[in-house]
Amino acid sequence: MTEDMSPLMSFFHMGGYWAYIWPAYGVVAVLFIALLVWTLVTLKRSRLELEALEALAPRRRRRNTTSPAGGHDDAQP
Amino acid sequence: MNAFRATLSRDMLIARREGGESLLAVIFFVLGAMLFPLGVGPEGKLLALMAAGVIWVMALLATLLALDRLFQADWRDGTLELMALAPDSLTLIVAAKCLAHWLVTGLPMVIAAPVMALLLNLPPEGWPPLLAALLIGSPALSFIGAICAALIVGARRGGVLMTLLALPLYVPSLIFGAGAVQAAIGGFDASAHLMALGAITLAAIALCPWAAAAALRQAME
Amino acid sequence: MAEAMASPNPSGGFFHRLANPARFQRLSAWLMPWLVLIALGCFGAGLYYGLYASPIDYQQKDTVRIMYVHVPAAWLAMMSYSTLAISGFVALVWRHPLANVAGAATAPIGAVFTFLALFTGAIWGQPTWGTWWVWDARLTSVLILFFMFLGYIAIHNAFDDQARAGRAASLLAIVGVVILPVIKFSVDWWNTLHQPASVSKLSGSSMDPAMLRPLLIMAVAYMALFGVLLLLRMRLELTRRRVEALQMARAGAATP
Repeated sequence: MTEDMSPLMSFFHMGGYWAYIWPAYGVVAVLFIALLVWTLVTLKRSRLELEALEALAPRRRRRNTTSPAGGHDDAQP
Repeated sequence: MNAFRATLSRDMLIARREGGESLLAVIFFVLGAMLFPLGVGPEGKLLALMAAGVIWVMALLATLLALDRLFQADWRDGTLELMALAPDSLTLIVAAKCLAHWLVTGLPMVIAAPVMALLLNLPPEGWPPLLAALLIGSPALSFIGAICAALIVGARRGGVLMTLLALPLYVPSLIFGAGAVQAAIGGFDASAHLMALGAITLAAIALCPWAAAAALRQAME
Repeated sequence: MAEAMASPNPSGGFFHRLANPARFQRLSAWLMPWLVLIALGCFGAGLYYGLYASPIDYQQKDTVRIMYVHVPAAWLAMMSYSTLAISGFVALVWRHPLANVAGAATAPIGAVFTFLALFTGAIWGQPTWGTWWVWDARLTSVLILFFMFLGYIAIHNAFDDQARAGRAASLLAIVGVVILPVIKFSVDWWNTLHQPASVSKLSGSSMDPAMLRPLLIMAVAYMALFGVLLLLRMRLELTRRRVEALQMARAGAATP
């Protein structure tokens, strides 16, 4: 039967191991894309939240010049 | 050295006052092992194959169960902060606590081991290496576990989390400990396993108190 | 306990300048398109060579192609954990403010790579050894590594105080990376004791250079992807922390 296959079909057939190879590659692709999409979506959501919060406090200085991510380490009054 | 001795006797006193509570880990140890024959059937040969591994896994789990007591109580009533602020080395104090923990948890397990070996049909060649391996290897469990206990002190649901953290770290002790018994049963020399186990324990005793003290200090910043 | 702000890192201005999140954002924005380009290019080339223009293995036939997604995943899993350990070390020793951010960002990425290594390893095992899971040394070590990633994520989420979470996770990563060689060594030994000698290495009998090419290309692709994901997640972490800081400030101002 394999002799009758077109080159494209025999490519997908992968010598009979298609049921192993394609799911393997498939899961890798799916998880990579899922991780990317999830990160991008959450990033967007966080950015919107940040903009909303910053809009509420217009008189605050831009945070560029204050201490970066480790802000919680400072003793807050 | 005074701080070491003082902490040691304090922890031992507390354990003695708790009475049955400190023996809970050993009871769990034996009880858990008893479940395996009930689960897999009483066939002697099967149990003999599994005995070394089962006993060791139960030892790991029982130690983890008892690790909760290591720092939590002192954290809650503020003693831990006093210990950190004291002029004595926190590392020494932690080392004393680990030793006390082993005396209360690990040593009873070594004593209970013959009972376990009997229940699980461990072949007679396996008994001496089992006792030796548990004796040599169980201190590592207390000391390595102390790091995980220190890391999660004060965290919510700390107990289960500590288990997740500690079990991967216990794998080498498990492999060499159970391996020693399996080797002896198979007629091979168990000394290489026991020496590896001993190396792990010695390294643990030397390094873990310092790491656990660092973790405690981080927790109290 | 008031702690002094980190003194300037003596080893130089680069990382210290990076500590400013705006600078970091600019650097990551510059870096991103290159990483995306490399990733896309290498995935394209890797898939072409891996699935099409490379020979089949004498024993494993086409299933050897799974190696091209499995082995790089395992490599990246190790690389991710190293990143965790290094960022933890930098966080604790130099208190570099981006170190904790990098650690929190890397953990889920590492967990995914580790899971993929396990999953593809299992799929590879079935046609090769006739069983979905086999306790060979590499898979077992990667399985343990997976739980170490989960532990890192769990301990980071166990504390409300971000600073405490970061410190605890950093320490855990350092302890983990110290014990990891011991774990690997003990698992290797355990494996040689229990496995029959006839089991072939997962990487195939010999590395034909035609097989090495897709393997290395995919490895570079994975690394570029790691870079992209890391930068994105670091931006995410930084944004999240700013949101939290603003929320706390508002809550603080709101109390009478």
